[in-house]
Amino acid sequence: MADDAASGEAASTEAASSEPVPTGLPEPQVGPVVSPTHGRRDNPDELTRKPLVFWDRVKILVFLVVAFNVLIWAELSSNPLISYAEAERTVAQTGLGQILLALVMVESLRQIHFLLAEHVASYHQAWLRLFSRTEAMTGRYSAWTRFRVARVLKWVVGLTIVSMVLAAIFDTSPILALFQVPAWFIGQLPMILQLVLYLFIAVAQFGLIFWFLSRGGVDVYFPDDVKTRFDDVWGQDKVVERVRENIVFMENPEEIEAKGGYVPGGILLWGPPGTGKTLLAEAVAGETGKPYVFVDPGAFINMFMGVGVLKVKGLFRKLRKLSLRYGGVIVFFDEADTLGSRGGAVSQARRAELMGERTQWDALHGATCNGRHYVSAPTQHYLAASELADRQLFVPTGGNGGGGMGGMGTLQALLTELSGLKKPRGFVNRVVRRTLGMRPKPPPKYRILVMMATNMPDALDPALLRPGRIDRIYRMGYPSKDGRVVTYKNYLDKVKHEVTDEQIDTLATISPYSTGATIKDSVNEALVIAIRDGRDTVRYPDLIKAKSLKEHGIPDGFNYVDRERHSLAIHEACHAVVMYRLQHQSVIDTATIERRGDIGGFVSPIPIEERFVEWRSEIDVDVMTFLASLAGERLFYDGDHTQGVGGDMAAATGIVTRAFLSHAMGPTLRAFNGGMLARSGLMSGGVPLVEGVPFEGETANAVEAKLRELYDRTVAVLEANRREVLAVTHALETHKTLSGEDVAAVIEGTQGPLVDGSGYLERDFISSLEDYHRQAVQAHKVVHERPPSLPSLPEPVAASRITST
Amino acid sequence: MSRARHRVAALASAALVAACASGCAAPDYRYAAERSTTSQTGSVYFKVPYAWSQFPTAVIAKAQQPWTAAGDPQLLLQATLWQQAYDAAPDPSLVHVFGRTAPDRPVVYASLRGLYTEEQPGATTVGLRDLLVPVSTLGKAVHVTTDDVLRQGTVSGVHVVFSYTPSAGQPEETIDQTAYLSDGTDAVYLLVVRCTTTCYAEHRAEIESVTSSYTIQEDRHG
Repeated sequence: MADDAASGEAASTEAASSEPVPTGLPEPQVGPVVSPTHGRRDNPDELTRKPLVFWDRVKILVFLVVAFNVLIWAELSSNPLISYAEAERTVAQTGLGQILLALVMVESLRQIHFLLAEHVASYHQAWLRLFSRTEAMTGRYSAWTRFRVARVLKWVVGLTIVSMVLAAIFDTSPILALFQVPAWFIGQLPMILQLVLYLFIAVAQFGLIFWFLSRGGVDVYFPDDVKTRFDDVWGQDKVVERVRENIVFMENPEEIEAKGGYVPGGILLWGPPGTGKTLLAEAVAGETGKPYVFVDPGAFINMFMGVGVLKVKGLFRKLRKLSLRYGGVIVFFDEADTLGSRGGAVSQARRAELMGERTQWDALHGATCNGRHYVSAPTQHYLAASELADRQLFVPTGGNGGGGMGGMGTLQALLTELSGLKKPRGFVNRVVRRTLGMRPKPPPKYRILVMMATNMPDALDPALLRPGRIDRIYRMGYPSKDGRVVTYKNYLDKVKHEVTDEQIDTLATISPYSTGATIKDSVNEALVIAIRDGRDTVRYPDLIKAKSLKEHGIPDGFNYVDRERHSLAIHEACHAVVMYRLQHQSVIDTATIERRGDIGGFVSPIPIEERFVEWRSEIDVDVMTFLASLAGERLFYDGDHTQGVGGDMAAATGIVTRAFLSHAMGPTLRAFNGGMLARSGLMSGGVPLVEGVPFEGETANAVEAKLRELYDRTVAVLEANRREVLAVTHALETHKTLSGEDVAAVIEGTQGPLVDGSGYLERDFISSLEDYHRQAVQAHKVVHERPPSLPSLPEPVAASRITST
Repeated sequence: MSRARHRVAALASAALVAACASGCAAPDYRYAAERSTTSQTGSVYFKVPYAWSQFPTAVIAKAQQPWTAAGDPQLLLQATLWQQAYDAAPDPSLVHVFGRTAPDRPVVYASLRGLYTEEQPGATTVGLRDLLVPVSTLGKAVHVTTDDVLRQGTVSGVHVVFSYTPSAGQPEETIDQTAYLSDGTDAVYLLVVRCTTTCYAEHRAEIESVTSSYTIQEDRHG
C-alpha cells in the first residue's frame, strides 16, 4: 500500500512538473498530492481542491475489493456447496469481512469528501482551516520524524491486512498466520536451498576463475628479506634525503599530525632507466623494516575485463593487512606508466622532449659520418631533439605511445583504493553498526607508503599524481659526479683493481650520463677484458676500453682500402685537431676510423665539467668543429671533398640557424620559442621551413654569412696546424682508434698511454708524412695509381705499444 | 475527467454499491466443512439454514465430558474425529441435540468417527442403518419412510428416515439419518436430523435441504 501511495505521488509530481507554473505559489495541499494535468483548468484561485487522478481515487478501493475477493475465493475453495453470492454473504458476516467492508465505507467516505472538496469551495476552505491547525501541531516534529512515524503506521496497516488475508488462507487467526509464514517458509527450505546451491555452483565457477586469474603479479618481501639500505643508493643524495623524511613521518606520524599537517601519501620517482629508482624503494623497505610489496609492471595487463580491478582490490586488502600487522608497509609500483592514463596517447616526441637526455643521446648515434660527438652536450641535445621531431613528422602519433595498458577500470580502481584508505570498512562496521544506530568506527590508520617509479611520467594519469595520492614527485636524474665517483669506487671495490682515486675521478668526469647500472656494467666489462688478457686485476685502460665499447659499440672490423682510409683519417684528424685547439669546455674521449654500422669514424668529446649554459663563442667553436671536416678535406685534397661532410654541414647549419632564431646570436635580436628545427623538414615550394618560416632571404643569408666566416676561421686553424693534422692522420691510420690522451700526445709530441708522440716532432718524419700525403692525393686523382704505403713512425716508439692496440 | 472515465467510475461505484448491498444481507445457509487433513478420512460438506444456531466445538466437548466416565460412550468419543451440532430452536441447547426427548425444532448432529479394528469386519451398510436406533430389529415399532442406499464416489451409505416413539407418553420422533462407510471401512460419516414427527413435517423442506447437501469427498492418497 505504501508503495502504491509512493508511486502515485511520484506520478503526480512528475505530471505536475510538466504543467506551466501558475502565478504565485499554490497553497499547501493536504491529503494525497494531486495532479493538475487531470484537473479543471478554471481554478485559478485554488479555492477548491484539485481533482484527483482516477487511479489515486480508486486504488485503495480496488485493493480492498481485491482483498475481499481473496476471502471469498478462500471460502469458495473451502466448500464445494457454496455459491459465489453465498460465499460473499458468508464472508461479510465474518470479522475480517466486516473490517474490510468498514474500510470500504471509510474509503468511500474519504473519496466523497474529496469529491466535495473538489467541487464545493466553502467545504474545502473549511477543511483547510481545520488542517492549518493540525499542520501547526505536526509541524513541530521534524520531517524525518514524521516520515518515520508514517512509515511505521503504513507497515502496521499493511501487516495487519496481510495477516488477515493469510489467516483466511491458512484458516487460522491473523496473528498465528503471521507466525505460520516462517513455518511454511522453513517447510519450503530444502527446495530453496537446492535452488541456492545451483545458483552458487553457477556463480562460483566464475568466482573461482576470476580468483585464480587475480593471483600473481604481486610479490611480498618481509623485513628480513630486504638487505638493501640507503647506503647502497649512490649519487642520489638529495632524493634519498627527501625520502628519509617520508620514512620519518611514516614511522612517527604524530610528529606532523600533531602540528596540523598530514603524512604525505606517496612518492613518485621518475628519471632515466638505471638511476636506482627500484633500488631506492628497496632501501626504504630495508631501512624501515617494513614489508615491501613489489607490484609487477605486468600485473595489470589482463585477459579479462575486471581482473585488474580485482587485483587492485586484492592488493590493497593485502596491504591493509600487512600494514596493521607490521605497523606499515611499502608498496612499489615499478614502471608505473603501465597503469596507464585515461587520457589520450602521449606523443613520443613530447616524451622524448620531457624525458630526455638518454633518448636524445641515442639519437646522436644515428647521425652520419662523425656522429655529433665533438659538440657540447646542449648542442647535442638540440640536434637530437630536432631529429626526433623530424621523424615525428612522418610517424602518426595517435596510438603509438599511450601506454594505457592497465585499462578497463584498473586505474580507476587504484585511484579509489588510494583515496579509500580513510573510509570505514567491513560489513559489521558499516551495515550492522549503522543499522543499530551506531556511528561506524573510523578505520585504523593504515601506514601504507605508495612508491612508484617510471621513466615516462607524462604517461601517468594526472589524477594519480594529485596531492593526497602521490604527494611527492622526485626526479632521479643521472647521478652527480660525486655520486659517480662513489659508484665507481664501490663497484671497483668488489673486484681486484689498480685504479687510483685520480683515475676514478677522471672516469667519473668523462662519463657524465652514467647511471649506477651503466657504471656497474662498465666495471664488469673491464673485468671481462682483464680476464681475457689473463689478468685478475682491473686496470685503468680496461675501464677506458670498456667504456668505449659500451658507448660506441664494437667496430665492424671492416678494412678500408688505403686511399679511403687516408681520406677518412684526414677527415677525423681535422675534427680532432680543431677540437683540441679550440674547444675548452670538453676534451677528446676517443678518435677512431673504425667503422661501426653507418658511422665511418668519429671523434667523441667529454665535458670537463657539468655545465648548464653555453656561450656564443662556444657555439661558434662547435660549428667550427663540424666545419673542420669540409675545410680539412678541401684544404688537403686541393679543393675536393667527400659527401661524408653532409651530416656535419647540416648540423652546422642547424646550430647556427637555431642560435640566430632562438638565442639572438645572429645579426637580429628577434628570437623564437621552441628552439628546435622541428618543422625544418617541411618544404614550401622547394624552400625548407624553419620555425614555420621559409628558410630564405635575410635569415638564410645571415646563416650563410656566419657559416662562411666560421669556415674561413677553421681553414686558418687547419693551415696553422697542418703538421698536427698529418700526425693525427698517421696515428689514426696506424692505430685505427686513439684515446683523447693519445691524440694530445701525438699533437704535443709527448708520451701518451698508447702512443709516444715524440716521433711526430721529428722534421724528417714530418716531411715523409707530407710525401705520403702528396702521393695519396695523387693516387686519389689518378685512380689507377696505387696508393702509397704508410710510413712507419721512427724510434723510439715501442713496438709492443703499437701491437697492443 | 473524461466522459469515459466518468462512465467507468459510475459503473465501478454502482458495482461496489450492489456488492455491498448483497454482502450486507445475511447468507441463506451456514456451510459446514470438514476438510480432509489425513489420508484416513475424506472431506465432509453440508449446509444448514442460516437461522439455525451452531454450537461451538468446545461447548459440545464440554457437554460430552460426563460421558467419558466409562464404557462404550468413552470409546466412541475417543474415536470421534470431528463433530458439529446445530439447533433450530430460538433457545439453542445441546439438550435438544443429545436429550432423550425429541425436540420440537429440528436439530442437526454431524460426526466423523474412526472404526476400531475389531469393529471393521462387521461394518456394513446394514450396520449403518442401526447406528442410532436398531431399526432392523425393532420391526413394526419403527415406521421407516425412506430407506435408500447411497453412493458418492468411493464411499457408500444409507439414508433412512424413520419415526418411533421412544417411550410411552413421549411425542413421536422422526429421525433423518444419513451415514456413509468409508472406502476402507475404517470410518463412519454420520448426519442426523431429528425432531418430533409434527415438527419434521413442518420443517421438511429445510431438513431435506440439509440432508441433500450432505457431501462426502473421499480422496484416498495412495
